[in-house]
Amino acid sequence: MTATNVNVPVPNVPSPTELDGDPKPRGGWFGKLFFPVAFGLMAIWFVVILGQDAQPKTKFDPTAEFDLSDPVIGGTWNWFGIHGVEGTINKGVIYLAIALLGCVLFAWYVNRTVVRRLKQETKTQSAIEGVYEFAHDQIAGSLPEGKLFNRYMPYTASIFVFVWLLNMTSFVPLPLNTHHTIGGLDFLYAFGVYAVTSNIFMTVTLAMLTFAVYHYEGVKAHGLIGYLKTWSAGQKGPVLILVYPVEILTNLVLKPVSLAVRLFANMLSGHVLILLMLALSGIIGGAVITSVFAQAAGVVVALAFYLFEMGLVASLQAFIFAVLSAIYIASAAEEHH
Amino acid sequence: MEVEAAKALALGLAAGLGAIGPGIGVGYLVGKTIEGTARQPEMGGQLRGLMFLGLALTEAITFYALVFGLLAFFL
Repeated sequence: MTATNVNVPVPNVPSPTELDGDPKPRGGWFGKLFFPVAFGLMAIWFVVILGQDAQPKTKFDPTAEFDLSDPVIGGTWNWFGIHGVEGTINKGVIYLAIALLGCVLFAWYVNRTVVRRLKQETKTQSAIEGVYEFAHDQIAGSLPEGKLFNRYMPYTASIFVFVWLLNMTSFVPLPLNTHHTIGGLDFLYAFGVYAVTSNIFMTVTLAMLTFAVYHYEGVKAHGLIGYLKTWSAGQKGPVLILVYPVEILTNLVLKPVSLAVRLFANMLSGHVLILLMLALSGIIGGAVITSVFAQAAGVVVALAFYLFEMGLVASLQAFIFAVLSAIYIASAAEEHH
Repeated sequence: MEVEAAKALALGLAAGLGAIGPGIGVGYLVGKTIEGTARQPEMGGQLRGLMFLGLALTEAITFYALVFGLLAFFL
C-alpha cells in the first residue's frame, strides 16, 4: 500500500514578519484599567476565600474540590436521548465554555488583524499578534517548512491557545463550588478555582487528537508498511527484536500517555498545592489552628504558589503540549532512508 | 502500622524521593544553559527556549511523584 498524494490546496499561513511597521500603540481604557482591576479582584478574592467559611472544620478533603458530580445549572438529563449518555452542566463545563469563547474571540481577532490586515494599532492588537508570532515561530517552528507547516501550524496554534486559555481561566475564581454556600444563601455558591485540565479525561481527549493526527500523517507520508518500517529506528538485523517492541510501545502508548499525564499532573498538583496551603491556615492534622499568624502565613504561601502556577506553569505546560504535538507530527512524517 | 500513618508516610516518601531526581536534572539543565550562553551569548535566546522545554519535561516528573503520593493519601 502506498500513500496516495492528494493535492488538496493548502493556503499559506501568513507570516508575522510580513506585519511590518511598529505604529505607536494608542492606550485605550482597557490598558489603563487592567492592572488596578486585576489586583483589586485578587485582593477581594482572598478576602472572600478567608471570610466565606468561618466555621472551623475537623476534616478537610481536597478531593471534594475536584468533584464534578453536582450540577450547577439544571439537573441531569439524557443527551441525544440515548440511554446511559447522561450529562450535567457542572463547573468543568462552565470553565470549558469560557475558554472556548476566548478561543473563538482570539480566532476572530486573528482573522481581522493578521489575515485580513485590518489595522487598529492598539495594545490589544500587538498582544494578539505577539501570541500569533509566538505560535508561528516557536511552536510550529518544529514543523518542516512547506505543506506540513501550512497544514499543521493552525492546529498546533489552536492547541496552544485552547490549553493556555483553559489553564489561565482555571485561576479565575468563580462561584461554582457546590459543596459550600456563602452567607446562608442556598443559590449562592462559594468561590473556588477549578482547572478543566486537571481532569484526565480532558487531557486524554486532547492527546488522542494529536495521536490520531501524527499517525495519519505518518501513514500518509510513508504508506502503512513504510510507516511501520520507520519505527525500526535505523537498526537492521536481529537487534530489531530488542528495538522494535520498545518503539511500538513508545509510538502507541508512551507518547500520548506522557502528553496527557504531564498536563494533568501539573495542573492537578498545582491546584492541590494552593488548596492545601489555604487549608493549612485552618487545620493541620485535625487540630484547629486559631493563630492569626499561622493563617496569614498559609495565605502568603498560597498566594506565592498561585502566582507561580499562573505565571509560569500554566503557560509553560500549554507551550509544551503544543510543541510536543508539533514534534510528534514532524517526526512521524519525517523522511527516513 | 496503622493505615493512616502508612498513607502519610507514602505521601511524604513519594513526594520527597520523587523530587531528588528532577532536582538534579533541573540543576544540570540550567547550569549547562548558563555555560552555553556564557560561551556563545548570541545563542542565548535559542538556548533559553530549549531550556524551558527541558525544564517543563523534567519538573513534570516531580509532579508525577506528588500526584501518586496524593492518590495514596486521599484515595
